[in-house]
Amino acid sequence: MATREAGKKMIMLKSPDGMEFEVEEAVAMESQTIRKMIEDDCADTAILIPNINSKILSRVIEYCNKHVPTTGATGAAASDTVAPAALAEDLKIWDAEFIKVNRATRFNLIQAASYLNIKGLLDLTSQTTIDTISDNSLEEIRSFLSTKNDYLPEEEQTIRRENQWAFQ
Amino acid sequence: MPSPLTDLPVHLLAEIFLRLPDPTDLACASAACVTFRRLATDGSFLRAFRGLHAPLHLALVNLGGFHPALPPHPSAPTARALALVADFKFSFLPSHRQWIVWDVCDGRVLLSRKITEDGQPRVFPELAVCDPLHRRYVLLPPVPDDLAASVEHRLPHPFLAPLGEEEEAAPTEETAFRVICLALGKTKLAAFAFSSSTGQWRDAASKDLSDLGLGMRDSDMISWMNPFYLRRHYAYGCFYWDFLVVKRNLLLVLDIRRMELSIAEVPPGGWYREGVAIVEAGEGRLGMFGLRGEHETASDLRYAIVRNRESLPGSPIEKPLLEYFTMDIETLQLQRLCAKQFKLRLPPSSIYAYFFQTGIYTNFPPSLLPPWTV
Repeated sequence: MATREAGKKMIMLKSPDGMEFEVEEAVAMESQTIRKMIEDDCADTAILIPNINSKILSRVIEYCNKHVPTTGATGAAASDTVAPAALAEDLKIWDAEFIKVNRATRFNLIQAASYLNIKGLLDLTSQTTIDTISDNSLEEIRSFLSTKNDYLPEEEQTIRRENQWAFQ
Repeated sequence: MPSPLTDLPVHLLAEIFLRLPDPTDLACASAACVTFRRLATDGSFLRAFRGLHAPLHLALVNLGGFHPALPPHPSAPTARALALVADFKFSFLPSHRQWIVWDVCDGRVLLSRKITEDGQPRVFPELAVCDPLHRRYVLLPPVPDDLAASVEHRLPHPFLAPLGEEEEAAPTEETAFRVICLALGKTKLAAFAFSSSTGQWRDAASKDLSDLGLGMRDSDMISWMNPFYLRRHYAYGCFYWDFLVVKRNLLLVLDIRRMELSIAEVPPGGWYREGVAIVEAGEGRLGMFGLRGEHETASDLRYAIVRNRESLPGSPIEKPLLEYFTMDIETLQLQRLCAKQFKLRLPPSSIYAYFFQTGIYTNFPPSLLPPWTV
């Protein structure tokens, strides 16, 4: 593409609430969905990201910015100079901070990560949700996932009986 | 009101729930609400879940019957639930007392019987594959005459083989299984395979003994071998038999993906004939446990299995206690699965039978399984 030689190519992402975000193409391409649009040449000017409001989209971009493999002037990956283990450790700490959000935001991020097909973000958000299920009581699970117990009392009894082994 | 997880589309909910580390967590979560329950009982979700998780070590199945994992083993509650619903006495089989367990794999049990329904002896045992959880079974047809005529000696120990990748890829084929039986001809070794999808036996792999580098003495040894020593190990798509380790430091290998017989060398050293086990050591590498030397003086693995071992081998053992452990190959940590206290004196040969004819029943909790598997 023409602008690539001139420097970093920029892409405009638009949220349905009218906000526009200018991001590096490489950052946007952390999303496999956007990558495909760009590679198929369906992304000339701006890409509208449906269903993801500006607040969530900005968080997603923040995530991609951090996770894009940075390239130096020679095009060599930064991981060549920084020890990969240290880099991974740094990312892990950053991720842990990043995901300290309320439940609603996390669930929105899950949906965004799924739609935009960003595996790392989907892993992170899903895993965080899973961690609230593992080793917790049923009431805690319900509260963490903010689901309501919509079983009839007798239904619940049956299910508890069937899965008794799991509650021991 | 915070946005509930149930607002997520089902495919995303599935994506999240597939990451639950343990079947127990899935069962707990499914009790939280109707939406979760619907997901956790959906056939294709469960198939994916089983594909991503390792089954639990639930029980041992051997001549003495069914031995569920005991506390404090983490699978003990699930094993107890399994024991309540499954029938490991196989009372759903015709004349069920006639059958002997040979192998356990993917929740299926392979059994054989040497007499006919009306008590007449059979030249070759009849085989059945059953699912003790759902009380279903399939009787296998006999090996056809032309195949049987091509060999002189069918080795005991038929076994269940994991499916090849192409068979596993078909998600509807949850009832598919394979049974393999080794046979020895005058000049060749063959593997007969029964496939549930074709319902037929075929000569799946055969090789001239000379091509395997084996001579008359080896083939004599195979045919005279006490069946208890024809032990089989499975790792990365191949079965290994270690009976040639005694004299030749060789393993017989059957690659069940390519259906090919071959011979592999074991690392040099005097391996004790009762002591090698081939395991998956991670990253595609084979691991081997073994005892060196003539006597089992430093046998870590077997020490862990038999408590009152000081009288082995030799005279009958007074009320032996057999304890079974699983070992994590990476950490070499042992975990006690179950134990069996005998009330009788037991001759060493019976003890060997309890060792070597013991299959480990690994499976998922009953509620996460397909309606049936045979």
